[in-house]
Amino acid sequence: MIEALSIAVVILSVVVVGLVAAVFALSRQVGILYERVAPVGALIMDAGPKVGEQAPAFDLIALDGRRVEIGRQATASTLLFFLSPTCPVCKKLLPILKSTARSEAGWLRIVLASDGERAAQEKFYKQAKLEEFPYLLSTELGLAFKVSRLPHAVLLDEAGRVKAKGLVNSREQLESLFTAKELGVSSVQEYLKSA
Amino acid sequence: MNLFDPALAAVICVAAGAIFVTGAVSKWRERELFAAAMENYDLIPSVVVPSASVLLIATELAIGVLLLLPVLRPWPQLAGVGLLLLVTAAVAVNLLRGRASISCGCGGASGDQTLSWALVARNLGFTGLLAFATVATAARPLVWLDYLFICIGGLLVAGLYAAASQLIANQPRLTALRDGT
Repeated sequence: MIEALSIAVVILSVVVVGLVAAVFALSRQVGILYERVAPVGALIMDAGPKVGEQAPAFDLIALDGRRVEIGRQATASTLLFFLSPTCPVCKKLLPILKSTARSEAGWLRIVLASDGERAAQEKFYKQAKLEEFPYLLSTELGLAFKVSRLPHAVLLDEAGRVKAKGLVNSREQLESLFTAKELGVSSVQEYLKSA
Repeated sequence: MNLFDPALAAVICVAAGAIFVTGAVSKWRERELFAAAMENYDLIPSVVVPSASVLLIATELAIGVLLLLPVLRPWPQLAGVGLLLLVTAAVAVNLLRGRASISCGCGGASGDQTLSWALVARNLGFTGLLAFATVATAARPLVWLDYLFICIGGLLVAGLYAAASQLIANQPRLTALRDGT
């Protein structure tokens, strides 16, 4: 009797382990579905100015007093990087942005954009040593590009047209924007479809 | 059957140990993100955040490893209860400040998530179980089936905890999807 019970408990334990693993796997897959994560490359949002379209024009003053034009004819392409002082992934990407600014200096200028309380933003600007970048504070800019998740990047060409954009979580996703511009496709997803 | 059976307490300890160790390991692997998340909580001065974040990860790992080993009990359980109350208080303070959108920095199997009262409830439930494991000290000679069940049961509870965390983490994403933002 005791032996039969012991065996039953062991078998049932193994079955429940399988069930718990399945429940966890299912909840995880549900989470991924919610995120609608693409397999590779920066995730494209369906909102805001589309790739190929002219970006909305803005004339703004950066935190350090620099004048910055967005969406107009310029001598270089512009990477508009939306971030916030309270976004951990944005902070992780800052060193990558700095090295990108150096390696792509020939054709690219990087502009940081955020919104919110000015004092906190200025503190962040100094602490993170972002003086090399113009730093814009503009709610309208974020609204115009329909930024919903951070960090979000938009790549504009010399004429101010949107060349690539998306949620950027890593160096690879940032570089995928440059690749998208070079190849003339709006996203890695589209490239995979056409290939 | 005694409610304070040692096997029951041991199952809770193994589960808590597994949860703490996976939490500490995932925080360490993304320690820059964890430090940034800790800074967002805005509870300690920014200059001490880097060292405090490493200290917290080390504490979590040490408690987790001790919980997995049948030594020093009930001290690892008590330390675990203390750590859980500390981090849950930090979450509650920021929820009361209305800052639910910051990253939890919790690490663990379910990945990144924002703050919510569901998270506080989860932690308090977990704390209650661990507190129970500190007082459940009735003695009984353990047999092979006990040891097997302690291992399997511990992993089961840890697995259920991970599934609950994942569902809590999914909630804001579902809301965002529903609202179409």
